[in-house]
Amino acid sequence: MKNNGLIKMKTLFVIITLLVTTNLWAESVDLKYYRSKELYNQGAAHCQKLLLKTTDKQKRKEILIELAACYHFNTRDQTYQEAVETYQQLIKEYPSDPLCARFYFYIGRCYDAFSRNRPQDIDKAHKAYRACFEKYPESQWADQAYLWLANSYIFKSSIKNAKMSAETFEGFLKRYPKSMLVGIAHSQLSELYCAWLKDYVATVKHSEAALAWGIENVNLRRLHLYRLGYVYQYKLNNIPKSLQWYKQLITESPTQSDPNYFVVVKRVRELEAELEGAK
Amino acid sequence: MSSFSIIKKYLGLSLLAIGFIYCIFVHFETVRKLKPAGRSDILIAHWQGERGCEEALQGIIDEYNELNPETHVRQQVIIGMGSSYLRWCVTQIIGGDPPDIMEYHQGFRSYLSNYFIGLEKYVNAPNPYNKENELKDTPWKDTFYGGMFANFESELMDYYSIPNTLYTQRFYYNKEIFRRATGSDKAPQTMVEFNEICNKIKNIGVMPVVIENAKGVTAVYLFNALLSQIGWTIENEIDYNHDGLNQAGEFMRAFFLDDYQLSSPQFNAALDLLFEFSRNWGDGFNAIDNTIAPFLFIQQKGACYFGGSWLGRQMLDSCDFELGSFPLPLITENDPIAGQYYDGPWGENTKGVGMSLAISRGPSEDAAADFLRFLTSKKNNTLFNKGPVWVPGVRGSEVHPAVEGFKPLIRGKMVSLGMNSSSYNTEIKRILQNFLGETYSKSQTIEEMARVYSESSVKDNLRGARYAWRRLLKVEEVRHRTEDDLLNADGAQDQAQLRARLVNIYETQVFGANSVFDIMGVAQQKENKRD
Repeated sequence: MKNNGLIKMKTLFVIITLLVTTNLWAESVDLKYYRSKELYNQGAAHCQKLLLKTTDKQKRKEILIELAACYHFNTRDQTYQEAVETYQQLIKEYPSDPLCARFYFYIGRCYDAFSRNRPQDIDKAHKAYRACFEKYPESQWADQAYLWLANSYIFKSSIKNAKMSAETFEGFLKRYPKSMLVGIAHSQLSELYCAWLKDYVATVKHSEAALAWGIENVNLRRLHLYRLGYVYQYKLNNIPKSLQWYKQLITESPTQSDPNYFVVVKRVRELEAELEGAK
Repeated sequence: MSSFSIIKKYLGLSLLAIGFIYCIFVHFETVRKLKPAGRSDILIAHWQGERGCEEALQGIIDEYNELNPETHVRQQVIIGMGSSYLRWCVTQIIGGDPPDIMEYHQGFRSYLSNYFIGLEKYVNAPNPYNKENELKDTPWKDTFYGGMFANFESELMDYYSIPNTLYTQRFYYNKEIFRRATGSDKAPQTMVEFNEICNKIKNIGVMPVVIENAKGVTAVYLFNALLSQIGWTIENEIDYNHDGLNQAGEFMRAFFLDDYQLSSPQFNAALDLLFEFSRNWGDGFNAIDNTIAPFLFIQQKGACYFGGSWLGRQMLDSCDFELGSFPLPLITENDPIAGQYYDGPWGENTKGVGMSLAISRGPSEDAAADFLRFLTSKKNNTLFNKGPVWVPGVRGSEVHPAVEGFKPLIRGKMVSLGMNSSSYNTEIKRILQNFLGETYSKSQTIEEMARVYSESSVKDNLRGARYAWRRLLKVEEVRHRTEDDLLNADGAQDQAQLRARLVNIYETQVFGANSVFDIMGVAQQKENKRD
């Protein structure tokens, strides 16, 4: 009997120790630990637990931001609605915080992500983007919000949507001529004018501007180089310009691994022969 | 209590304790042997059980270990390319003890950002182990065929694996039968020549070409290679954004808005070419699979066999005759069926390179990268691929004479009309089998292709678009992380670098979303048109 009591006491002690240490460990885990392992649900639960215990305002803001991120990037469970609510809570609790521009921006991003399944949310995304650049015109998220606003008009490509999108991108270039995203705006304008609006003069203008701005992405550079060569050759009948861009594409593909490398080589040969014949 | 009863009482427990202590001893002894103190231990896991591969890799590992006494590299082969290898690796990853280098598997994609390292900082610099050859100043990534184009993970904006070898498909051929039938063992250059040789081979009572088409894959491959030579112009018609490629959304737009019909002369001509060629494949080709076809060829019942470079060692060891190989011949301008549409040769300049190896996060990252540099130097890539008789992935590496003809063809273009979707890809195999087996006429074949595409493509492409969208949303998190870093960055240089990275991420996000938008837009317009 006495032994039995001792065993029960020991078991109880072990359980209490385990509970305390597990809980202590859980609390000591870095705020972003779960998200770094893509364990978004556990991350959200961890933040919720910490929120109950935190009274410090600054700490609470950090936890809420992490909670919103856990919901925002949980693409598997698509917890965007929860993310939007958390960003809204942040705006409500910290209305004068400069990060509010970012919270509006991310509300827009969440609704934008949503809109693939729920097209009605695209208007909510527009509203949030507008709130970001209208309320915080000097913030670092203002130009980003404007760019996404322009891009979201073509979320279902058509001539009508392309027109609206192109107008907004042109507005972006006027409003933010020094933005780091100018090259991307030119790039998208070239795409819209080429694929949907069939304005080939505008197409080459914006492709050239995008390349001059310094597009880094290899695929995007390749796309513009080929497009310039093709449009100058077949749509604008400007052979010297066409040759210039085709040759640039050849130069920028040292391993000849561009899908159109040899097509372009053939065209250059033919165009040069044509020019030679004309002489 | 007697001593016997004490022994009886504690015997079981003692044996258990001894067993436990022994296990602990064995465990630590193994760990000590595998990871001696002060030495960096690198484990490579891969699934390549093909003859000659493990031995060739071991030879290179031994040389590296000898040159680098502070590092110890070893390999572990997990046979079973699909689920078993993936399961084993994922268990190791989740368990926190992944191998330092793992052969890349599609199933790793969701683990890449957290458990593997991006290789950009390594691949843009030259490979120091190439310092004595013509690649000494070439960035590491450009030393491979295709410039590691296929190893770039677009949603993570980085390279996550280093390639090793190339898989191509060619005709293996029996030079002795060729000589007997035609008086020469010269490989054909054009489809006309090939069909003529086949007729001569038939005359001596041998099956000209052994084709395994039980799964329908070979006919689809050959059809695409034939269409690629006459399809450059079709591409121009339906390439709305003039980027030189046909995306799924563009073909949908052309098909549903009546800008392009499958009954085009080029499409018809490609089917005619395939049909004509299939008359040389011998009886029952639609029932022959990869367990029968190589044996028919090895037993000299067929003069040619269409197979992959991965069979190199087996073919070399098994064939009792002089073996040669050649690629699918070209159509050329003089072809009576399709010469008038000929645009140029099909090619493999964008071909992805195989047996790619990824590096897991951990203390041995730099050492692992160094070993991969060593493995993929021009000299060692030649040595490694000689073992299993594969085609090297590094440009300029020597090829085993038996697979000389399998070297990638850096020329022309492989046209893709952007018609692919999961249902269509399955159905086209069946449709072509029926066409070549003369169950469907050519017009029925085209009608059936159009019907299948019309019924399945919207649903399939929308599913694909949603998947692509989800992948792009992962980029959103990378951008978020970069923004956080930018907010906390101190120096102007750090800020400029992070800003450049942010722009780079934007380029990927915005550019990547265009194809998703196109599919969604065309699906909507198709609905509106039907209403």
